[in-house]
Amino acid sequence: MLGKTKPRSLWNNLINAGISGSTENALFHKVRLINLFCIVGISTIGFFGIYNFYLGKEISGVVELFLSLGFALGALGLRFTRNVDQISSFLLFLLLVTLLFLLYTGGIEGTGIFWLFTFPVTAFFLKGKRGGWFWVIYLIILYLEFVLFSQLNLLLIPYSFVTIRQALISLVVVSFLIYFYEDVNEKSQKIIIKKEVELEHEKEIDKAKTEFISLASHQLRTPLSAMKWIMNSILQKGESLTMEQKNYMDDLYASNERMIALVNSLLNISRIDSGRLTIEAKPTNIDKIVENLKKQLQGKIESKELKLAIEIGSLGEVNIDPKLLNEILTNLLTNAIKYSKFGGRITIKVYIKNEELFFYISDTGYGIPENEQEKVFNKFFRANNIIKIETEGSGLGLYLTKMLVDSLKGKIGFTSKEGEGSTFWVSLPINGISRKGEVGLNS
Amino acid sequence: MAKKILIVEDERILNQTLSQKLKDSGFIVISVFDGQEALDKIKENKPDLILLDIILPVLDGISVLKYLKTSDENKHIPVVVLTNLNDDKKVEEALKEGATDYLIKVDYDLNAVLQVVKHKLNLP
Repeated sequence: MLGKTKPRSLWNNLINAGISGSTENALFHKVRLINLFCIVGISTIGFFGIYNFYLGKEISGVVELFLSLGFALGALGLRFTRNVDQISSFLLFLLLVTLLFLLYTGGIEGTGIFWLFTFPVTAFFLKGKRGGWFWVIYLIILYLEFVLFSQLNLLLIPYSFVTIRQALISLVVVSFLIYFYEDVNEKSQKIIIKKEVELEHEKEIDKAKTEFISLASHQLRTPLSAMKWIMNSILQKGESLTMEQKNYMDDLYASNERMIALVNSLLNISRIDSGRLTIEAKPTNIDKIVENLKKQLQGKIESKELKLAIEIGSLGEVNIDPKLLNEILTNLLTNAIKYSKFGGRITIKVYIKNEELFFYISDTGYGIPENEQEKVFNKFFRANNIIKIETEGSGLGLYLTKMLVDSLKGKIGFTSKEGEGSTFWVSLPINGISRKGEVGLNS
Repeated sequence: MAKKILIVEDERILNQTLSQKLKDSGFIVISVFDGQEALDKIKENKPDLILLDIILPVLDGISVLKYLKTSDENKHIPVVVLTNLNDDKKVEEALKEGATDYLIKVDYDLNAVLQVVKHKLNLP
């Protein structure tokens, strides 16, 4: 990474036990938790130690200070070893000894019995579901020995049997409750992790797919340009060709152009899919765009003897990405021409309303069958009535157009009647959407 | 006097067809196949315009642009990038490094390239 490393504050260093979480995330998380546990332990137990001294209970005070020291050792240990398991066993052992000592010296009426219930919480927290049980059972066995001592009158302050029994039952109940909590917690964690992994996997597949299309498209373009330019050269010297040869060459050229259009569509889709499309709004003269569009497609319009009517007020300049706008309009008008009957009529209507630029492109062509209308913007969609008339077409044009409109935060729709024609409309915000594409491939 | 055009293109067919087209239109054409050769020819011949591919052996097109930018006697030469890369980042980079135009080869036939060349050199 080239980014600067931030100077780590003392606080961060303290909380994170001196490690950074960039590489092994799960371990980092655990170390951090145990470290926090130690820090809280040092301060609270240390406080009680001093407090007990103040109250005159020197023995309890000493034990608690020792425990506090133990936590400090644990926190220090985390900085030298990553063996989290050993450190947490050490901490639990310290806690266990202290608790039993407190019980032994403090008596059941003291605070010792309450501290007992911190143990299952800590054990499950540090050791997880299974390891936690091991330590809790260990505590209960030691506690039972306590009961025995009590029966033999070996304790400093005798416990009543009832109290001991109640404490034992409470301990077991608390342990079970915490166990179930841990169980649910662990399961939900697993589900979250699984979902994350699946999502990651999906993203990777998607990326690979996009990279493949991008690479393949680029590799396809070079031979396509070679064919195009060779045919240019041959057709240029057309005098030496027979009429038949020239016609074949024209057909070849048209086929090549179809292939180029298909590859370009695939490339564009992959660019949008992978977020590599750059949108750059700038003051754009709409009248000029429409004029160029007409010029560009004049040949096709004339060859089908279509009547083209353009209704456009003087709109002047609006803030929009001209390249994308041009692509959207070219796609729609090309479709209108392609799916018009010979001698049909195409109308283009353009106006601005409420900070939005509206385009209507109507034709009097074949139209889209009603039962297929909802699939119009799907990838590779081609209407049944069209496939019978005209086999040319990839079914990518409208899919791509919708993607482009979406990336400009616009809307697209249509009305259509089979046999009578279609009207496609687009509305695009003119407040100047710009977006930088992400880092591209080096293909 | 006829203008000198340097074509930097590693695909033999593309290089050959474009060279022929420009020669037929009365230009003096120097054609090379990699970036290093391009630098040598620029220093030797002082072309009036460069048609430059981006992905090239030895030294890529962006590096050629970077050299031109630093060379006082050559930085005025207009460079039309002619490539099949469809990467907005690359377009941006090429334009930033001083390319005057960025054309996608597959979208331009030879006549269209010729028109761009003439336009850049203010020829009718």
